[in-house]
Amino acid sequence: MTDDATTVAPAGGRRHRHLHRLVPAAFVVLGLVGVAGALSLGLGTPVQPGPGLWPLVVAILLTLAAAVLVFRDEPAAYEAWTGSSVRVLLAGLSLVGFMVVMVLGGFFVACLLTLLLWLKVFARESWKWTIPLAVGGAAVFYLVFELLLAVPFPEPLVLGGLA
Amino acid sequence: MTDLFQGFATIMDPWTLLYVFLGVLIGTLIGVLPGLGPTATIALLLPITYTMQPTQAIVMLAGIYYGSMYGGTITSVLLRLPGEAASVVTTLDGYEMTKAGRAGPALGIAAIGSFVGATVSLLIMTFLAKPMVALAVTFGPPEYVALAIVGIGLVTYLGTGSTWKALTMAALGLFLSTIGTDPIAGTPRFTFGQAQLFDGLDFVAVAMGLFGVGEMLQSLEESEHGVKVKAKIDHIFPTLKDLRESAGSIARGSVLGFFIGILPGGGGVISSLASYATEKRIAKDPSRFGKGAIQGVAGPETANNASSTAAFIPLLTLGLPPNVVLALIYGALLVQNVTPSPQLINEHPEIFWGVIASMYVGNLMLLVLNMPLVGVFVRVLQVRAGILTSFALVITMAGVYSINNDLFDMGVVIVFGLLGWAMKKTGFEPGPLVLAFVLGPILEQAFRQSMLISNGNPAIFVTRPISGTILVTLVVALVAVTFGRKVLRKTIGLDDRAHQVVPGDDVASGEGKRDDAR
Repeated sequence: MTDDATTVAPAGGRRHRHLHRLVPAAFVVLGLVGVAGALSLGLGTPVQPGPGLWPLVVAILLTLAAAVLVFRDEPAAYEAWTGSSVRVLLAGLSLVGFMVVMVLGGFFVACLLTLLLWLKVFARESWKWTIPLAVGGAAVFYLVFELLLAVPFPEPLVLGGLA
Repeated sequence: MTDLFQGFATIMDPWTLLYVFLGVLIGTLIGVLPGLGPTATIALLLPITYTMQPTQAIVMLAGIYYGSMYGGTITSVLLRLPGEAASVVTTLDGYEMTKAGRAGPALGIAAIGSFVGATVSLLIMTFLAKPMVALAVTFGPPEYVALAIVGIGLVTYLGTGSTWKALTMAALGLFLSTIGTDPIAGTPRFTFGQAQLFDGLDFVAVAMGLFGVGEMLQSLEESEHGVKVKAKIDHIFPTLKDLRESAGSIARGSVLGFFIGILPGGGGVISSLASYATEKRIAKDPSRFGKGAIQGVAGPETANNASSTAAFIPLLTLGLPPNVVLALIYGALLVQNVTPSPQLINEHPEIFWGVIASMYVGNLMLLVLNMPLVGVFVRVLQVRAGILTSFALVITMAGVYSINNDLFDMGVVIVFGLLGWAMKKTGFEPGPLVLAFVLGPILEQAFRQSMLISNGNPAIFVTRPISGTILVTLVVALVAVTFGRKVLRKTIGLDDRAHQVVPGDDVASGEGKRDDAR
């Protein structure tokens, strides 16, 4: 017991020592939802399996494997969440921003703003490097994807003239 | 042999040759660069292959795979920084050789060994291809079920982390593959009324998210900086004494690598570790290992290239990808409307023999590139990971949109990218998920056909001689791996951090790099 508590300590102290079980528990829930969904699709017969039989088999496998993990998983396998993790989460979410800007302002503007944000904030480059790299990069991407490959990106809703 | 010459004729087209060259060049570069492995690179380049001819697309992706095996060696030897997991074991003696001022011969023998290993593998493959296909066409649905279970089972068990976690991921991959329209009844399954889900989740978007975006987000968190190599690289051509001392290791590594490579979940790491263990075991003076023994570089490097080449056999002859990188190449073939199966050799001989011929040529290119140009490649290490990541992400977003011209796929990439990063943080491997996602439809179809054949009796999987033998082999392999794992660790004597890759595989697990193994 002492050993267990010691191992967990870096991930958040004694109070959070069962926190890591949440992840496999979420998979158990997903598996159970899958089982329910598969049953509602219809199982058919062993000779003529219905659309739900195979999903039922894999959902049961998922539920069982995740259920074992709830009890057996080692907290040491979980990396600590730090300020840097939040930064990465924001970086990932900024890609949603790329989609939104692309719809509103077009592909070129989305590339330019995303590169500026990523190079300056997430890659921590100086402005001296960020601005030429972002402008040059956006121009090259525009040339390759819009002009050369003729990818039909959505027509910009707001900044049509710019793109 | 006539077929192979036809393969050479196919790739002698200047454009195809250019793609072979591009593949091996990109492979070497990403093998050198920490932060972007072969799995992530191939995932990111999948949309580009849409615009290419099938043979050109596959020879380029294959080149990236085996090219990265060469590139990964360079940083292992010079910096004790394995560019990819198969090269972890090379750090043990390779870096010691560098410290002793013998970086050049270490890199030279690694390149020669890699070339010999890959070529031996290709020669065996050339002669075995037709008999393998002849055997494969006798396989029915129960055999495919057994083979798919073996593939998923071994990749799950051979992963770097917890087996239960890998099994959970494999089950999740199988479950995700059921999303979409039922292949027989036509009923929508888990689509929630979304028309975009009727065809299921796009494999390319899932792979690009999990491996591409997921890996890039992880490298962002690690804030990697550029590295400058200080070691002097000269005398890259090994002396006759070096060649004589390494010849046996190279020969053994070639054969060992080939046989490990054709097993599901085989790939690079296991073969390089097994080769190192073998060399150390049979050496007259095992104490030299870990202190700069050239056999400790020659054997593993030969074996990992032999096995990564041999891994193409199950894909090309059976239509079953044995590891995650091959699963991505399988996906690339599917998007080209080419379904890998035992019929591939008859229906698309230009692809089958073209890929094999391209590997002969590609390995020759790699030998030529690696011997004199090592100094140029190490300069790539000075590129800062943040800049690379920023550009790669924009390419990913644009690339995934271009597949179906659909914003939905961009959403899938973002969701699976964040999922891939979170999985790495929580110790779950994306590899088994993606392999199971690819094998899921094959497995379901073969399972349903088997049930139909057997009148609903599941005993068919063990009572048919071939499928029964395949499943028994799986059980034997799992037992052998359990004991082999302990022996490998004891023989090799890797430190605790490097232990984490025994006996896993970057390719099997889907992790391009094992930063924790540095």
